[in-house]
Amino acid sequence: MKNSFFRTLLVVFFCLLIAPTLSAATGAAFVHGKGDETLANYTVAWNYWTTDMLRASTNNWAVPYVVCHYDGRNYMWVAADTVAGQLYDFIVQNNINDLVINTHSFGGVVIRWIFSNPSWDWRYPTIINATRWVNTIAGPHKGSEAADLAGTLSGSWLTSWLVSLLNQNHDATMNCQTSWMAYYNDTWLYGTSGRPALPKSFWTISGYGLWNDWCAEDIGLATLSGIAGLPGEDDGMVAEYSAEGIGSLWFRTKANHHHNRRNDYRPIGDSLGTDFQ
Amino acid sequence: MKKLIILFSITVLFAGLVLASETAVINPTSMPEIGKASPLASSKFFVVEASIYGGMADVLLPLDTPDGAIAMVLGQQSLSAVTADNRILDCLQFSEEEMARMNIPAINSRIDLNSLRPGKNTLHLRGLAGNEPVKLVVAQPQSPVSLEVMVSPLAPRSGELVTVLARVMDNGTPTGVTISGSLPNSPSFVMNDKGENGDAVAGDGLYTATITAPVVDGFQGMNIRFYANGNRENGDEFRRDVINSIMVTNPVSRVDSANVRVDGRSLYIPLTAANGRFRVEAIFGYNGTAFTYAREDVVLSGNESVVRLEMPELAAGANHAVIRLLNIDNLGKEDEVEVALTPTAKAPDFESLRFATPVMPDSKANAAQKHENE
Repeated sequence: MKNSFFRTLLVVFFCLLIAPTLSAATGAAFVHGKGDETLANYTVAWNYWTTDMLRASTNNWAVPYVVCHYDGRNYMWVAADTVAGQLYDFIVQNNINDLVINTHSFGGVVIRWIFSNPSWDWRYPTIINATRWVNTIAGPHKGSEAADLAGTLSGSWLTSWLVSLLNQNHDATMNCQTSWMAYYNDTWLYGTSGRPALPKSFWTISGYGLWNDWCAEDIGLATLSGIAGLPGEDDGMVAEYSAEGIGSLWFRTKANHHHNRRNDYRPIGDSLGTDFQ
Repeated sequence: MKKLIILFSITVLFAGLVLASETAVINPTSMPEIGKASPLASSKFFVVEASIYGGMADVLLPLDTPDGAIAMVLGQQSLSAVTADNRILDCLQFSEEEMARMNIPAINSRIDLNSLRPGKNTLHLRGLAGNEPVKLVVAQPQSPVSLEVMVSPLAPRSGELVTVLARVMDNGTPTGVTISGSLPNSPSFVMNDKGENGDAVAGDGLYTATITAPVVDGFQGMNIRFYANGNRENGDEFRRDVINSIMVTNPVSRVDSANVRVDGRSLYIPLTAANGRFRVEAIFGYNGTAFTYAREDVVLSGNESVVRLEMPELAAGANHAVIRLLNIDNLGKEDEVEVALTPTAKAPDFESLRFATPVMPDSKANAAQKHENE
């Protein structure tokens, strides 16, 4: 009688332990690129992607999703802490064990920080273990010559009106400079040659178009690309060699850096949504 | 009872999946280089400024290749006219939020310089706002002239010497070339091609300077700005600007490389006394090919310490290792040494270690096909 009771207790205990896993779910996460402090606001981060992109990327809202939102000026490790909190809460609250993380631009570097440093924060292993794979769109994984240009225009040699801009403390931009990323790729990040592999697959999407719909943003991106001199093909901000610097190439797109986080000029969102079909 | 064993096994299996791994296989490739240099920075642009008087400014532009050349006037919203050589130039104002995210004004003006002639040109700008000098970035993407700069090492320690190498690339041989550089808030330095002060060969077109990595607080990335000017073989003047960076650590600890030892499957790494959190990582290789990795995060409390790194089984075939000491508190690279190891097993078959190309799931392959003919 006593043995039977304890046996039953053990069975119930183990069932409770694995029950959450058995009923776990698929989910999607979105991590935006760098920007200003307003990106810490959920609505601003939502609009970074646009409603249609989020709809398409979740296969018409078929899966629970989280739109991460962090101060777009922060260094990758600071941004990662904010994003980790949101991803962790999402995973735990929705019992997610099959997470697809979609990133744009610097967001891919932020996620790489998490996946390269599981011992940095107690939440990171949960996020890594729950992730199926990461889709990184136009990530400056080997830096951005556009950020180098910005670095050329920054510094104490500038006139005062630009110095005032520096007070905005754009650490994220400095993170993206090619020499800075070379350092981080050599030390704190995984996924490049000579470093350990990232623990989950990273699928890259690289952009090679500039003049999409000839809107004002296109002029800016094409001008930036022409001046910064990004090598090879680029999307105005990130050269393809950098966007494809880690993981496996999923596809290339003519959508420039403005459009490749949207579902308008090219159906990037529709493609992301195939992860949930 | 059988059910209990099955349930227990499943539990252990899931518990194992949540642990972070501290050893890894590396896709066989060259061992990391001690004192690795920076990427090569290359530029076909330069920055020029001019004072504004009564809403107008005259900007002197030395253009070597006007075809495809563009100028971006920073931050000006009211530019009304741009002329040169008595001709009106196409000027387009635009707003680009991505620029605002990079410390560049969001609203700028783009001027196409296609119609200008090589040599000295003067741009007349009208309708300028403010009293601060107007700043232009001028790029000549189709020019064969570029300024290239590399610094070595990329990650020096404070007080260490950094070698800076620069050259002007061109179809012909430029003359009268001057290349100088400066760190923020520091006097500029002039680079030389005279075969002196670290320059290997006089007149080979490779300019050299040796600078000392500044003392920093912990760890700091620093941009170095370079300027070059001179004349092309045909006499056309050129100017180029570029930046490169050094990532400087003011170290608080070092690896006692002379006393690194292996005992069984453990690599013992002595560290000098320090306080703080550090990461010790080792990249194991055989005859210059890296193939496996281990790391450990430690907390030092002011005394000398010996960190025991568990070597992956594969590392038994390694005959050398690069050991790095990284500072978790400030992300600096405290030290980096190479040590010889005595292999206790056969060197691995590198071909068998090569990572397989991930198989793209059908859903992704189908989606990728739709983008093939964009």
